[in-house]
Amino acid sequence: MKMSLTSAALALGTLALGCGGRPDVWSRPASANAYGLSNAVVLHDVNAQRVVALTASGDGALSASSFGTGTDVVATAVDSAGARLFLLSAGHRAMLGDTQKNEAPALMVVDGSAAAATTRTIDLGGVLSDPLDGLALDPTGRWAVLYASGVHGGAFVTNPNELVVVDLTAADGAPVSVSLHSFGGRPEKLVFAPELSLPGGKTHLLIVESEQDLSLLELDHPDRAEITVRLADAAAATTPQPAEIVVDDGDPARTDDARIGLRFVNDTSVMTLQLEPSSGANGYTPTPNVTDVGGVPSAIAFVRTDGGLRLAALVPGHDSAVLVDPATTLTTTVALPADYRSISLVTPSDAASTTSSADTALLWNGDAGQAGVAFWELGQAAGRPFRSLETVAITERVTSVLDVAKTNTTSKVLSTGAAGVFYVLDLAQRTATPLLTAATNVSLVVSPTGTRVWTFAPGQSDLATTDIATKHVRTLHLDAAVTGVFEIGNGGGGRTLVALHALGGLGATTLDATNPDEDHRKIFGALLTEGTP
Amino acid sequence: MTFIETTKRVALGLALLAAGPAAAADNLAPAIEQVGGEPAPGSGRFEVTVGVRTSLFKGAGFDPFSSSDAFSQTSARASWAVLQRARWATAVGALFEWGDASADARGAQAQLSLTRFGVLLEERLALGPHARVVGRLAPAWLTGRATLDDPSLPVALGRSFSTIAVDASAGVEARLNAPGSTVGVWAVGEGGYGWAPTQTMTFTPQLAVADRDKAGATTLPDFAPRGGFFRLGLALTY
Repeated sequence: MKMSLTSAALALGTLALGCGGRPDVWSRPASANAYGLSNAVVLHDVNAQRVVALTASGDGALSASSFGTGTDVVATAVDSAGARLFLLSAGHRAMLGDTQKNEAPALMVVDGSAAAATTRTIDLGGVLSDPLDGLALDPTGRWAVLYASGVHGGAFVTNPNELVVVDLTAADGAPVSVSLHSFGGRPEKLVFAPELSLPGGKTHLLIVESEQDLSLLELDHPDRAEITVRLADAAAATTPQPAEIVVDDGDPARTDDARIGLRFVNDTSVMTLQLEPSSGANGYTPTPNVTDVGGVPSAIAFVRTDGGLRLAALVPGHDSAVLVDPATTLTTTVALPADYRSISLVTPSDAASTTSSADTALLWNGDAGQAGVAFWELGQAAGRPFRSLETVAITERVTSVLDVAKTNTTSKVLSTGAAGVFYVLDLAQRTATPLLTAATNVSLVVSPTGTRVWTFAPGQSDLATTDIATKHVRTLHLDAAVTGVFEIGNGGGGRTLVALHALGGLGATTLDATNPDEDHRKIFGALLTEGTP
Repeated sequence: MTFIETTKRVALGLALLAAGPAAAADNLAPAIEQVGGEPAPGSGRFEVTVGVRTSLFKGAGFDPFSSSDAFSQTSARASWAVLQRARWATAVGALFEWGDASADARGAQAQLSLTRFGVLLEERLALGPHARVVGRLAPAWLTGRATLDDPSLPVALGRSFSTIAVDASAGVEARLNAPGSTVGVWAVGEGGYGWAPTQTMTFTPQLAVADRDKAGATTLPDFAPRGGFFRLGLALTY
């Protein structure tokens, strides 16, 4: 009889278990990609097919808003203003018996610039039958370009030269499909040029880089045929592969001196393309000039010197920089104190507003010890190049240079990777303040206001804020290991620091970013458990 | 403990109980005179039942705590027939049920425990010496404790509630031993519906008073502790 009872219990238990369960999403990991927007931290909860926007009130309380995304998000990007997150979804093709409806590819925009996050979705079904998996955003925030990156395998047959241009100022996005004329290449990189003064007027060019050519597409008129520039003769056995593209508008009053500069992989040449007036439909045509700089350059930049516009190329193998006159292709070699591999323009903003002013460049990423960084005064580069360089003694190799916005634009934050130190560089005083870290491999986050730099070591619960102006450091100890840090505007008009703890579940600690104090921190847990659909 | 393990333990325990004290109850006098006939031996006034109750919570509020809709509790009750006739008996008693469920909920361990303490109003109808049907109404006090243990937090999140509840059920009891024995051993099976008000599930960290302002709340879907249920158990009567 006991067996009968057990059997009955088993049967009823099975019946009970078969009476329904919870959605699968509850059992999926709480892993999310986090993005910092102006006033929100947006968590892309891939496993729940949604985004969660965390906004803060003046007292540090977090509010979460959940928005469903399209199926199969294949690309995400944040605009350069840090206001919007874009998610490109491939959609879904329903098969017979499929419980999920057919869904067209779509571009979802999460706007985190206001106190409450909002979303809108641009339907791409009208121009995309097969989904594209690449997403590039114009720095001005007006256009988004979709392309086949090939990362996600793509469709059964894909035309890699097909792009979709989305005008983000149009209510429906007005997506336009463009198929580039190809000589056999496929796009590898998309570069948005700044606004250029061309014969046809102010123009925004999209430069599409393939392994053997460049295509110039006018985003203002995507219906116009693009101009394709072949990077080698048709008879050439090999084609140089572009490694870096830089653009300069030249004199804003002129419409014939905009230029594109290129360096190539394992090639000692640099190329400039001057966009000159022509009678064609586009009103301009690129005229190439190629110059050998004596070694394989590691970085290039258009710079304004006392001799005029030059294309500067760093040639680390020769401890030198080469200034190329794009008009004549004449070169000037400047010996450098170290083999710097990277260059950033740090010209003060008031000087940049006048065309006659020369640039100041920061050289960094030197390979040798004591390389530090060097200021390159390009106002003396043509006449007295040997006196144009001033080094700042930094004993570690600088691996990245972080820009500082708004209140402290004359500063840069220099990261040294795993060296246990970072520097706040004062461009005006030419000083570099070292800030030592107990941990190596720290992450540095410059506040959007430019007031401070946040330092944390992923996996540790310590956090520090350094005032960029005064260099005052305040160390904070949180309750859990920090995996990400974002500073956002809060509903009270102040600033809130959101430190994420992705440690199985997902939690967060908020602090007053302006005057952080552990006593006034707030902790939040199970952020992705909350609101699970 | 799984549902089947609990059932087996209950069955074993009751079988041992039934074997021992059978004779001790032989001389008990009925507290209230019988009306309209003699009830069968062993279907006496007093009944103790131990078993398993499985409730089906269909709402989204239960999803964090279990991968299925089933919530199992250990169930114990005792009842006393205050009015006993040839086939009918009216009984009152007490009910105590407890159990918990837990599951992973997006990286956090969610646990829910429910305890029910109630009174029983019971009507029994004997179908014969080996079987009877029973109807029960059980107003109860339901207390719940839910926790959310997120590894990203130094402390767990918790939520407690207490509320009224009421069950209505009907079932069948089948006698397992000989009808002539003073102590009856019965297999019990019943089903019904349990109702309790919906509870908001706002979790707060379990912190000292001084630290409570440092923590925010986490809100999960409202939990409605109501739905159909069934019980399986073993009963002793004498």
